[in-house]
Amino acid sequence: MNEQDWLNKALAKMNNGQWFGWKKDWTGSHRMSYENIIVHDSSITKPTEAEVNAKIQELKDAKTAAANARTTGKAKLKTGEALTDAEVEALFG
Amino acid sequence: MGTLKTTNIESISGSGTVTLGTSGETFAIGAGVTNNLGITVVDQWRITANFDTTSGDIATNWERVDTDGPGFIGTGMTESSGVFTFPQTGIWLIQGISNIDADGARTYMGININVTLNNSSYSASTEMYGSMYIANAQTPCEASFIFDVTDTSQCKVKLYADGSGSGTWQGHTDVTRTGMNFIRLGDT
Repeated sequence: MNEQDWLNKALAKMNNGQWFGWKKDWTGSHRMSYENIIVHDSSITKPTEAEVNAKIQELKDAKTAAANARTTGKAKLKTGEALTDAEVEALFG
Repeated sequence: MGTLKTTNIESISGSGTVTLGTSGETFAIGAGVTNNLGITVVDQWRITANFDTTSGDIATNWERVDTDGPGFIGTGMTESSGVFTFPQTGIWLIQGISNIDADGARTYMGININVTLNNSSYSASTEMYGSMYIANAQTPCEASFIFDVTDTSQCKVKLYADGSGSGTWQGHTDVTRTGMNFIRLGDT
């Protein structure tokens, strides 16, 4: 996933629904960037860039944790050890 | 029986309809001939941002595909709040496509093509789903429907996201990840 994908994913996870989009007359190097975010839902305030970055980091950390849980879970399955809840979820949903 | 060779056929008046043949006759396109007569409209749309939900109309962020040399024919669809209006009556092939992320294990995640015949009550003409039993998995989903559009003011279509739990119907400004294609196949 590139920078735009992470931003897109993080925004989608900050609120339900189609609450955000991108300016049509966009500026900068890519339309999918913080400066080009528009908010469709009047009940929602545009998050700060720091809040968005924190969400991106949270999602990245969760992805890393899930990958690690899959690795350790597979190893435990081979040796017959008990799996943690996170490992079960990472392996089987 | 003979062969008519010409490069152009036009009406005498310069406007109106040029009619070929009469009732009971059949026109066929010769082998190897490019046929530009049958399909008069081709259009493609997509959403530009991710949509996180459990279920709901895909109602905003629609744009006509504008990257990577997209192909179009004729006057295309118009869209308002996710409702697509046809430019003319006819038999239309409608395709809905989506790449969907699951937040966790999901029995089903998919898309419906919802149509109305009275510009009011919508029903699902097509429902297509995938299952995801691994957290953070994603599934592609494609649905199609051949719609007899007899009245452009009454026959409309929209794309509906539907899942057994929350997930993300992906959108992007440069790549089609959730979208709709429209092809007019012929007259109603």
